[in-house]
Amino acid sequence: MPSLLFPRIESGTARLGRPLEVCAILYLVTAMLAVSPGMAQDARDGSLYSRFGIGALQLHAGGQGTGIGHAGFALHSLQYVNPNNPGAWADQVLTRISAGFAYQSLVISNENKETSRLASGHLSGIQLGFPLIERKLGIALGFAPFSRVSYNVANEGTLLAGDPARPDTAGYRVNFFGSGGIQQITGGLGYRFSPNFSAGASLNALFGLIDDGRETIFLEGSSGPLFLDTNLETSTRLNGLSATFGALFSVQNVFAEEDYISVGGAFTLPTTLSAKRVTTLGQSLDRDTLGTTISGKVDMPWQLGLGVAYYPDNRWTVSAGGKFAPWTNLRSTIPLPGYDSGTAQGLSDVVQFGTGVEFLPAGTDLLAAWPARIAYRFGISWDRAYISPDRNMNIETTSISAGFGLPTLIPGARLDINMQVGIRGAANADLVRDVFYRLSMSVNIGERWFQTPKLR
Amino acid sequence: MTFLMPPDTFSQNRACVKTALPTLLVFVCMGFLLAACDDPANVGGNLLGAAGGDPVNTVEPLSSLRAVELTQSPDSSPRVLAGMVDDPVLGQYEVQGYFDITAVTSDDFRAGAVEAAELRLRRTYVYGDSTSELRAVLREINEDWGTDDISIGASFATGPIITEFTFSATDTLVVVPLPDSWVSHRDPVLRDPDVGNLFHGFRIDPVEGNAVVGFGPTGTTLFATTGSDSLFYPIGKTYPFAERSAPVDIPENRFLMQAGIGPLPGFSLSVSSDIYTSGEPFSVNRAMLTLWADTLSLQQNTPAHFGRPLLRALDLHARVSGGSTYALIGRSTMDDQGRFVFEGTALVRNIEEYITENIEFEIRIPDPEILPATLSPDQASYHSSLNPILFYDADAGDKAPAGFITLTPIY
Repeated sequence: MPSLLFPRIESGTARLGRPLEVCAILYLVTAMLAVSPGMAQDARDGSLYSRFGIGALQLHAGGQGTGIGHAGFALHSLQYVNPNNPGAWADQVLTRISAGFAYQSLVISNENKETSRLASGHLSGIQLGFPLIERKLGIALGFAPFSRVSYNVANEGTLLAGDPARPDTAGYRVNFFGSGGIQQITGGLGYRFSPNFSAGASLNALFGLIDDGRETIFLEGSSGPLFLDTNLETSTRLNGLSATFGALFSVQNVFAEEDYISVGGAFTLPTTLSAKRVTTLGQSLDRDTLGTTISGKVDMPWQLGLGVAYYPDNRWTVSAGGKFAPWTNLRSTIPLPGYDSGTAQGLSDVVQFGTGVEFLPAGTDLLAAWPARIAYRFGISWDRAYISPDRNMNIETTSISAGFGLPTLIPGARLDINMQVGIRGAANADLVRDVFYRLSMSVNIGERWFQTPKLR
Repeated sequence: MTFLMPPDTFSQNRACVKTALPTLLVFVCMGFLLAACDDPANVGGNLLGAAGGDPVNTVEPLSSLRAVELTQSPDSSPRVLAGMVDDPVLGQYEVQGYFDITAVTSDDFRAGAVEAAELRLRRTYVYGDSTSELRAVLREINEDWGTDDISIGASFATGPIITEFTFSATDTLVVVPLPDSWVSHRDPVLRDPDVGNLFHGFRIDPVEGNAVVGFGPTGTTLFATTGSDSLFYPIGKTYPFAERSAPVDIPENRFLMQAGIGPLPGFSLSVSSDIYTSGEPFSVNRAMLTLWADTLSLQQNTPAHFGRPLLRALDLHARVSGGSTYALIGRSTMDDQGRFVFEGTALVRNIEEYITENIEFEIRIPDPEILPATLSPDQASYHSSLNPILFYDADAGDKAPAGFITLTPIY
């Protein structure tokens, strides 16, 4: 087995009340403060495409994977817990906690070159991993958004004010907004069967609440005709279980000495989410439930992700990968925006490709200058969404990403900052084009836990 | 020196802070910069397809106005109406004015016999020929006429004529001296502390004239003197017994509503549009009931000196068909086009909730005890008036009563 030339980073201490907790809290507060102006905008300030189906599927690849184009299925690192492949969880040395936040600025434009600018921030994921048997058996827990609904758009119109003696028109605006999404809690084990091969499995709990709202607001002033607004909100609660099986195969000395290559894959079983939907009409305390609670099911397809990562030496990482999920098999017994019940119209199979490179000039040299210990990342990603408001056109997203993995003075801890620029959709008669600028930050801290000091 | 943490931990945390603070600064700055760019617009509305939410207007006819009997509360604004009039448009009618006095007394007043009494009537209302001379007689009411609502047309037993008096419709104060015989006869009652129960009031019967006048409520009293004191008995409850002496001949497709006489208009809103009958839910954004008044017909053939104050403010009451009580859901003042437009939150809520059932409406004289600030003093005394209003009926084409409803289908 390749000895896996990653530096074995030891932590300074294992006591509680230690820098790990202090710094974790500090970084998390920092990140939350940083994104708070965006969060204050509204959880609705995202892509309009997230309105459809069960929301826009999220790519969560962790601090490293995000910077290299979400090509993370074969990534093998002692520095990061790979959220995409349970097979990679076998090889762990330190207890690792990572948490990430993302802040996104979105420019939506249509064929008339009209634009809308929105900004929002959100939690991109939390990951915890630790070895049960060092570099043999590892466990990981994670929390990340599976899908996200975040949109806010309005249509305006006029109608006769309803006064035949004064046939004036009254302006109105219909606001469509949505928030929420499906979250995923993952827990699983990875086991290293041989120096070259490890495999793992995880159980994924999916749960969430999707709120879709529609407000009809009349634009008359206080002196105009009296109109009462209509506020309709639909809340859909979803939950279900799925499982993911992953494997990672590594070979050393492939093209040169000291290089090695990893091939990984993860397969997620299809799952059925149970859904309960409540529709309410009215404002705040005057809100009335409309009808009875609707129960239903949403059948989601399996997903297969594959990747390859090549490590020419301990400074370079080149990764590529993708995933496929036959979302044309999506079936839902409750109405979903853009989904024709029982059919595959408007649905597409999800395909995602990504590739990227990471360069760590210092390699394993912990004593190198600080800039040399920064990991520089670059990646490209492309994906096709599973649902489109235009039956004849898929929603495709192309993005480039660049980032840094900043070393800190705390051994085992890194601060990952990634920037991503992407284009989603197209500005034509039936679609809009999203240009998004996403800034994400994740804190990744590693430390030895659960070990008894050998010397007293 | 005591460290809360080991020195190595302390230095690591300090380093951690050094890293975190610039990060915080960069992110907060970017956060605010990006937030400042937030500019939601209507881009993307075309993606929604038939997502609904657009309001629509429907016009629903109101059923023909029907006559509802007017009831009069004796506790309503105490103004004494009396007189007879020949309205060139609305016909002849006469009004007998019932009124009671409010019990007051004093020891000095009770100490001596009542030597004199007179009615002091402050005129506050005229309907009819303002140049008319009126002659009337005064009678004492001989029965207790309660405080419950009195149906229009009810009458109460009275005694013989106490006195006869004349006055001009333009007199602001009419003083009616009561004869000595009546004074001496009622002296014990007037001085009794229980005068409110023992004495039932007066009735003014018109004999001649062409106007109905209203007295009070302020400045209208029974004034009595004894040798040592004098008392003003303010007027108490009132009730006008109004009767048409000739059938009214109003224009076609009109409905006459008249205070003091009635009837009141009642109507129903029975919707027929598919959107209501489909069973699909909807939200009512606005509801407006419009009744047109024919002020032109009332103005025609009316002499210049003939005063006919109109009902210019009305209340709308509603109940679900078969319901027990009506509830006030709107008040409207006639606009410059002669329309009464009822709208408001209460009307919207009622229509939203009950529109698929049959909602019955009644137009009533404004109740001055509800939202008094929305009524002028004149409008607050409509209960004690003969003010009319002529509505266009359901067959009046564009001016027929109608409901204009703006609603948003839910699905």
